[in-house]
Amino acid sequence: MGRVRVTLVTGLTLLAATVGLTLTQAPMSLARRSTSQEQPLASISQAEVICQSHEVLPRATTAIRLHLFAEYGPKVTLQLSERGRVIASGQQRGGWTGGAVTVPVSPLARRRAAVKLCFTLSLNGDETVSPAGEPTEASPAARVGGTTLLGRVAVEDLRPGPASWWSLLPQVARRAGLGRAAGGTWSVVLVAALMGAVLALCSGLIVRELR
Amino acid sequence: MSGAAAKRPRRSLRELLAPVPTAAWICAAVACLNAVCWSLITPPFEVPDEPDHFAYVQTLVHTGGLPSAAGTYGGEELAALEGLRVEAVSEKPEFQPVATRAQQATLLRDLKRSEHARQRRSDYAGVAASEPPLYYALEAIPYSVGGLGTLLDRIELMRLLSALMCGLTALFTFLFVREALPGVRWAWTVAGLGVALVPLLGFMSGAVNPDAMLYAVTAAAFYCLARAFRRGLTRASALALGAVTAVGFATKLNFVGIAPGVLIGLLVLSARAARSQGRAAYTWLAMSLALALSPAALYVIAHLAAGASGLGIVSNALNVSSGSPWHELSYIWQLYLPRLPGMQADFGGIFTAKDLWFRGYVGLYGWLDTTFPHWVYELALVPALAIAGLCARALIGGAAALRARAAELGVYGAICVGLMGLIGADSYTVFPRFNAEYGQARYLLPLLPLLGAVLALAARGAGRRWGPVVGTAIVLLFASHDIFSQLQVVARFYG
Repeated sequence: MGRVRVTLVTGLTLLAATVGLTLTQAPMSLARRSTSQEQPLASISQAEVICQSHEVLPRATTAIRLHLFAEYGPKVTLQLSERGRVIASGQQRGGWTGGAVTVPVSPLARRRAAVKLCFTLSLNGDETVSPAGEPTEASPAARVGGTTLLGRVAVEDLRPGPASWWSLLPQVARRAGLGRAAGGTWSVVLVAALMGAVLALCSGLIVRELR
Repeated sequence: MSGAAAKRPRRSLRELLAPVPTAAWICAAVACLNAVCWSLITPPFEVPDEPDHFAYVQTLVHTGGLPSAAGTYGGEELAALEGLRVEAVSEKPEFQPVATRAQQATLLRDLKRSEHARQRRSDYAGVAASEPPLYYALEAIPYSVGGLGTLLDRIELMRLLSALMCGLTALFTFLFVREALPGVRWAWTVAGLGVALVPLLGFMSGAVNPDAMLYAVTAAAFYCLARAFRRGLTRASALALGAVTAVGFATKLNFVGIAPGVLIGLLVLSARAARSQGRAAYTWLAMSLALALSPAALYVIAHLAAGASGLGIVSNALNVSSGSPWHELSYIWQLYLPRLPGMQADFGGIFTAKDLWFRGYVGLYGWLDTTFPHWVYELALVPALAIAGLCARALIGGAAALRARAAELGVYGAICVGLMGLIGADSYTVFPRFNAEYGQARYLLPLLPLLGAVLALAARGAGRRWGPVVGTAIVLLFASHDIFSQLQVVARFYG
């Protein structure tokens, strides 16, 4: 077998193995949502530390999703502390988009109450980030520098779900068939068949042309 | 017309297409099938601006006129947007579209209720309203074919037309690389397959969006230029360039950034051809320019007749609304490249080339709300740098040939600078209220033929012995990227 064929077979085997391995992972699931409201609370354009107290974090939380709107968000550094001691931290690089940024943190071994959540936005004055959440009175509201925001920033705690992607496949296939022209799980089967055809065409062409 | 020309036998389409290698058709089929997959996994209206582009077609079909940017969607589209929970889902990865059979039943019932023609009538197309009508006129065909079905049937058929255009993009990329880098036949396949499997191309071409046609038209322009540079300008190639430019102008306003490079190429080619063909070359140039600029002239006349600015929305990019020309230049520079000493920092904390463009290319789907984990973007730098290194090696090895083709390379460079300048200038008009408003990798995909050339050069850079192996690895890398991108989209919307 020529080098190209060996590379092709090895590559396709690796691809199949990686896809299979990825599907053994459990998707992130929502462990807690602090509020369902998403009112704009402020417009921030300078590097600031924003803090809010009395957060309750479920066990095994591995990521925190902060509801911040930005065209292209800056670097976000997050710190969770309990009674003045840092219990977890994480950061997300700049360049995120949309209405929320997910910051991975070291997993929490147990449920934590009365946690102070602080995050830093590395802004330089020319960009704007708008935290969103639930309007509250001044005392529980998030604070930035010496001022108080209009409420608490919406926070979601994420952790790996109980089931792997493999076991969720039927549910995913059923959902993928909804909200489109001819509903049904057939659309997932069709996509799989089409991608199989794509790989077969690519492989055939590589074997024919790359000699 | 001379007698010889009159008696020249007409060539059938089959004969015209005969010189196109089978490998190019297979690359086109791969791109097309890939885009069809994307069209099936991406929920309706979960692609940037798809509701507006769909509304444009609906306006064309049901009113026979062009849309406006003010108003609201027709009742049927409003019902679809609500039933599909587009407002709740877009930019909010924690929410998903239709997830239960009850929601599906409500959606279908509401669509059925609102499918009466009057409910489809609206002349609102949001951000799409300022775009030229060619793509939308073509999309009116599948829209009308699906006229008896629901909006969901029509949008799927319309997406399939975009997927066909994706096939053309891969086809012309293959042909461009064949003309630009004719020496090594197998490298054309690496370029064609690599581009066919670019996930962002599949995502955008699996949607109702004129970008799909813009990519194909620009790839055709690259091919025409490369062919003319290699074989010399003829009347047919001059007219082909003019026709492609005209189609580009009629497809999407972004072509305004690409056209100057194409026209510079036409001038350079005409000057060269004049050495052997004399004044005939300038006649071809005049014919080609007349053809190329006719849609732009119509656009200006239509706007002036409507009492608007002659250049319509394009004039926004030419206005310096929020700073000095120097600051605008500095901003555009920083949108792509690291800040130079003396420049005001406009993108604090962001390395734009990596954090905006590379990240956007690697994976930013849906309404820019579907991303990979952070480490994927870091890992992707490794193969990207390896490909860049191998490409550089091939270029250094062929430095003498490069010098001989400086004018041709300059034309491709002018196309890049024109497009990137337009994106930067447009983004600057809303800066600092929004930063990098148009800093989306999809806007750079008209340059995909150049990516194809980079891939071909990278494979060649590995040498004759290992080149095909590296080429195979590159295609597999792009296939893996595509498959994992699709899985990411499936996980985001249906997981």
